[in-house]
Amino acid sequence: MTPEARPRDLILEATGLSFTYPPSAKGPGQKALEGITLGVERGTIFGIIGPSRSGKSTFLRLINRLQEVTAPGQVEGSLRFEGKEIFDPGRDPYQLRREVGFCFDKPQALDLSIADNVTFGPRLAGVTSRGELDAIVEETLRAANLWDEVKDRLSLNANRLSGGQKQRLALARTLALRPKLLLLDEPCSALDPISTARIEEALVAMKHRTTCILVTNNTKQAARLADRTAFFLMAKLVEEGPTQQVFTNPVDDRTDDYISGRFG
Amino acid sequence: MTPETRQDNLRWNRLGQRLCLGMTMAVVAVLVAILAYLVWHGGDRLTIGFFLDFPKDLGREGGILPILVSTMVLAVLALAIAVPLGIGTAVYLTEYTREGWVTTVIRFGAECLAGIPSIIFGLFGFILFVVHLGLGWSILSGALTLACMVLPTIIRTSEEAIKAVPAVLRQVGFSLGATKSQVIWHIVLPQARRGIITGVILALGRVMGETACVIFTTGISMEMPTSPLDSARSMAVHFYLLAREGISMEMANTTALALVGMILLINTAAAVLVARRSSR
Repeated sequence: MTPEARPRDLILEATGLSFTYPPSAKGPGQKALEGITLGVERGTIFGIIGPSRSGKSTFLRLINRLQEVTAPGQVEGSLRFEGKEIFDPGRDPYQLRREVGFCFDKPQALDLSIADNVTFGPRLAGVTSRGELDAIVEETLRAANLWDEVKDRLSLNANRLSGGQKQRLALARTLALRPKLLLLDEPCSALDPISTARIEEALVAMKHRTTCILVTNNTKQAARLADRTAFFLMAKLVEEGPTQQVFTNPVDDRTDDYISGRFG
Repeated sequence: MTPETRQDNLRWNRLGQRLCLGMTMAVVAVLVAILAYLVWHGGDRLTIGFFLDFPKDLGREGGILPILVSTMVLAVLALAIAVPLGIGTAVYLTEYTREGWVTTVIRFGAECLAGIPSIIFGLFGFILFVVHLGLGWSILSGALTLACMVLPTIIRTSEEAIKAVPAVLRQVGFSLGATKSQVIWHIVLPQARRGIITGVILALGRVMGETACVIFTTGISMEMPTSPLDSARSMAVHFYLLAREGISMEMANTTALALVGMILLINTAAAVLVARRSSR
């Protein structure tokens, strides 16, 4: 049975999703997304590739409503997480962000100890039990492939870690809230190949528990990790399908051109 | 590039470096000269007893115990008033408002306030706190006046420190489910604390060394203060009176040395603390 034949359990569903940046003094708001329709299946890694300014990151930042924190623009269409509309006015964005984790492109450590970085989210959410927090630290640092390197110095300031370690710490910090969906915005763009490999191992190992949407500038990374891949270009979704097919037999010429490096 | 211009560039480089070095040395020399003068003229009287004895004969003999206590109470009280107000204002200006004419006016006002001579603040404090609000010549009047004086400094430095916190760290906070106030309290302020503390230390130095403000609002009583509503004398005022009234130049120098020494010590301790906390 091919994946297409069985009914898909979609954790995220976008239908005709458009986003326009707020107008500025320089002119009308720019359209960052236009009529995006796609679905992300639970328990998979969903890759999004495309050149810069194609709308990939904006798409991610709409899913956990981080976009409205920096530049609240105008959203049209529908975006549903586990069947419920994300932009429902009654929806609590803080709770949404606990269920939908986000990993930034550059490694960001809070000026706290390694352990306190990991437990930042749970502590804000009201977890106070020492034992529970310690368990979260070990569990998530193991999941992020960092435990063995830092287990003896959990009280060290996180800024003392290397860039690759910091990024895995950021991954652990996000996982500490046990998100159902994890958004990764070019998580390896600032990392060396070894650190990248460690992050990739971590993502593959946990995808059954935590669905991932991986935005990447590195098409090879999408080819390695993603079950399905979408290609964004100039605010539009050009093509979406099983990764194998998108990379070996794309429907659209522009996808082919981008993947084979003729532009990007 | 010809070898000649290369040579020229090198020569200019060296000249520039030496010029800057010379200027730095001049600055350091001024500090060293002041310290050396004070140590030379007041160092021999600076004993533990000087800090622990009551002044005798208008300050010609004895020590400065009540004056030391008054100075510290005054400084702590002034900062206890100014620091929360200043940080609160800085947070409001940076985190809660969009840049516009309101922030421009507030910032301009704060800047003007910073440029006003301290004796004007003294006069203002005398009229408002001492006379109008009936607080009399007291440590409280002095602390309130000093707080007004250093508020712009604290606002400005805190604002700069908060602005220097990378925007993406705030987003990290939001992405972990934090509310705006949680982001400010748990991410922005801890991250900015180094700059904020620097501003507070700067303010502490100014408060401890301030004379004009204090003499108008706190008075010159040499008694040990028993409440914030008592009149008192700060070390800077004590120094001023000893020197100005021709009471004792030697004791004036010793008081000055003690004051400068204390401020240097506080600055050093703060620098060490900040450095240790962030490199742990």
